[in-house]
Amino acid sequence: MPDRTDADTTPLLVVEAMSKAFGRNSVLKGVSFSLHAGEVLALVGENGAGKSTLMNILSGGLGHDHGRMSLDGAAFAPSTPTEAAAAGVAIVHQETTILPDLSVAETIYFGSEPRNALGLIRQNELHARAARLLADLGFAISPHRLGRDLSAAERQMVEIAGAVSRSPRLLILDEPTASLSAAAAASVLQLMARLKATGMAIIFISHRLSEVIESADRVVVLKDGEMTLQAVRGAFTRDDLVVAMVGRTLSNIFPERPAEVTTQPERFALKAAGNAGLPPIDLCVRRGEVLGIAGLEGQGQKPLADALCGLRPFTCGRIEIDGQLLRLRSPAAAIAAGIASIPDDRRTEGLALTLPIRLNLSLFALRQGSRFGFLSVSHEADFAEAARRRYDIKTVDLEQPVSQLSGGNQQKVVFARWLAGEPRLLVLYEPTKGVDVETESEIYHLIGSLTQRGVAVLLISGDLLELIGLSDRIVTLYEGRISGEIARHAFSEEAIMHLASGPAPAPREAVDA
Amino acid sequence: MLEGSIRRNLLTTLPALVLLVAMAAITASASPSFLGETNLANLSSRLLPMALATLGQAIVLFAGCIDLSVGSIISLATAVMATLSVPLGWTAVPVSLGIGALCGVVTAAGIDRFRINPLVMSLASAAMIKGVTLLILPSPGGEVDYGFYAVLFESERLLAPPLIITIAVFALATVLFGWSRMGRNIYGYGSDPRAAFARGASPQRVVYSVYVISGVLAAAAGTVLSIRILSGDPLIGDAYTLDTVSAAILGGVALTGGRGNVLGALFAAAALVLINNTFNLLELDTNLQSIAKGLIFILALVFFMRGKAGEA
Repeated sequence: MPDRTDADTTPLLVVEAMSKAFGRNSVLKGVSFSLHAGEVLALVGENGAGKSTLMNILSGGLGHDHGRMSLDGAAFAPSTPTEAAAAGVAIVHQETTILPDLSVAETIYFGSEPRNALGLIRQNELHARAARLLADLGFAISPHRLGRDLSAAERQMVEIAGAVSRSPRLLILDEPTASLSAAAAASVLQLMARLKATGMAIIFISHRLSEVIESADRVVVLKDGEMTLQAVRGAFTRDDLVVAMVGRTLSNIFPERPAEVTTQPERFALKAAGNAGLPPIDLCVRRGEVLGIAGLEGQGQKPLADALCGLRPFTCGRIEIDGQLLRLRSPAAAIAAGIASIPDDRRTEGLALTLPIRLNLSLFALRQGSRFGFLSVSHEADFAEAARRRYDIKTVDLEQPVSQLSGGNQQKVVFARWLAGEPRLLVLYEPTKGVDVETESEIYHLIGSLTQRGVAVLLISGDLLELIGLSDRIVTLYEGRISGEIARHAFSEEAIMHLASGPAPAPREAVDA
Repeated sequence: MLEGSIRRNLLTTLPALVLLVAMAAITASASPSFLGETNLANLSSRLLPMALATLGQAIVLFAGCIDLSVGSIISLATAVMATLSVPLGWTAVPVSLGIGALCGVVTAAGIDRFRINPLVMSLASAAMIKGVTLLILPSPGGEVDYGFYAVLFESERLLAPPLIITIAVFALATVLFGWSRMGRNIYGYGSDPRAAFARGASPQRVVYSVYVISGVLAAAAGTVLSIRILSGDPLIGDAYTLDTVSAAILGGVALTGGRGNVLGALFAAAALVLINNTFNLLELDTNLQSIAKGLIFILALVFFMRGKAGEA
């Protein structure tokens, strides 16, 4: 171990030789690490590396097979989440548990509301308490707002507030920034720094290596259930993390972009097209071109994606595909026109979670395989098997429900299904959200190879590195309108952020400052 | 005191309150005797069973479930009273309410243990309960002791048992569903069962409590009804199933769970009683009444679903 500096103080949490297997499938193999009060530990690893299993063992959601844990010197083996909570361990899961019809305050203190002598809830005290908590944490959220009115970022903040309200000694955050914009993610990281200063120990899981490097005092990398790296701040680099996660250096994360893209014929164009949620917009994509669409959170990305896939159709303007007028009134019309779209929320919009992988793969390719309107089962099975090989979907059994796949593999299923239909335009909305670095790179190369076949790609993303690495051209959205366009040779994070934060271009010096 | 979801849930009752006041104003202007104490007392004794049954339905809807056995339980309670009130006296009342609770337990068990869809399970319960009722009392008849009527309905004053019971029950329910942890758990579960479970609510407790409460309230409605008609009727409750759902929706209770206030159910139940009363005064064919009620139900759904879509 590289760290000997804090050997003089007793660690808050010690995990020794932790192992866990599901049946014959060993998911954690002898993982050991320790964590002091007032420290932030980042847990890093690809999807399926065992991170969630480890977190669930720590928070009482799962038992373990071998190994020992101690908390503040005392043996710690919670058998239920309630026991873990009583011992001072709070966890914020990736899936939020916001109650849509209750207020923020009622959600935070659900089940532990302050009550008067008659056992009735003291509603004003409840809201005042939540207001103090949220203010202490620096969250600008009214405790009176209803859960259903909160944005993804606000939901995440309310979850964290709920966990912090129990004053835990150890706070576990499972991908707290995955669904957040860069600005909201930064505020969560700042919050972690403040909580750490109060002596709280924090474990957080993240796929964003830059935030790991920025925020973690200590990092633990898991690969296939084994700990491949443990290091303290300053003693690891981004490359070290990638090597430990993937087992090899990952070169060429992004595909090469050919230069001749700018001379290709136009494939898809919007001319003053808009609807109730989106002001009229003009844009075009060429054959084989990746057009990046950047913007701060909530600047019209979702309405644009929904309009393009026909979910909330355009109501004015003109839409052209390969020079022909297109009526895009429904998702069926979009599919028929060769527009494939991959939604940002694959769990609710992209997949039938409880159905087998085989059915999810073949859901849209059925037309090719059906005869007189009936499906050919053998064709369907062949199709699914071919897709599994082609996209390297990691599963032993195509009959498993798709919900059992890791996030990255679920995303591959979504891709495989849409690409079976040879689309003309591919609309991607946050395609690598919650996907590990290796799968991320696979997806980027997949997109690259599609463009070589002439598919035009609209990439809507909040990840600037992804936009810069993948796009041939980037436009920025601001309040639903296009606020600027940047050619590939002029790409930089500063240039994009500059255009994304408002339409009026400021003097050049302001950008450099 | 009225912060957060309580305020929002109170606001959902306003359309029903406006409807009730408007209907009362129209009726009063058409017939001056409407506001007379005798008429109001009569209306309040008609309101009592409807209000009790609607309250139960609303509570089940808060949890995101539905109880289609309300009507059958009402009929069963009248049959029980018509057979037991003479031999048992007042003991017949708790027996009748207990049988209602038992009906709720059966429905909840099907939903909780066998994961049957609430709508389907309560429909199956309704069929079974109806069968039992017809075995006890194949046709309208039997006898309910007049002593019950004397206590409950003889007074022609407005401030008499029917109104007092209604106010007391709804006052208790308002407090319980606004300010108790049980109520909060039910709203939370109806709002998002998975999230409420993750936050420590027990789905089992929620499902059993709402169906038992609904069963007891439906039985209370049937008991009151049998006292008013001094007999039992195995089919009298049939119309109540749709009426209670209709009134709850009109009262601002969401079919999808998690929102609404018991007072909305009271206002809407009162409005429906007025509508029924007007139909009777107009000597409208009962079949036409049934058509009109179906239309009211659809209109209520359209009105409140539109509001909901606007928010999403």
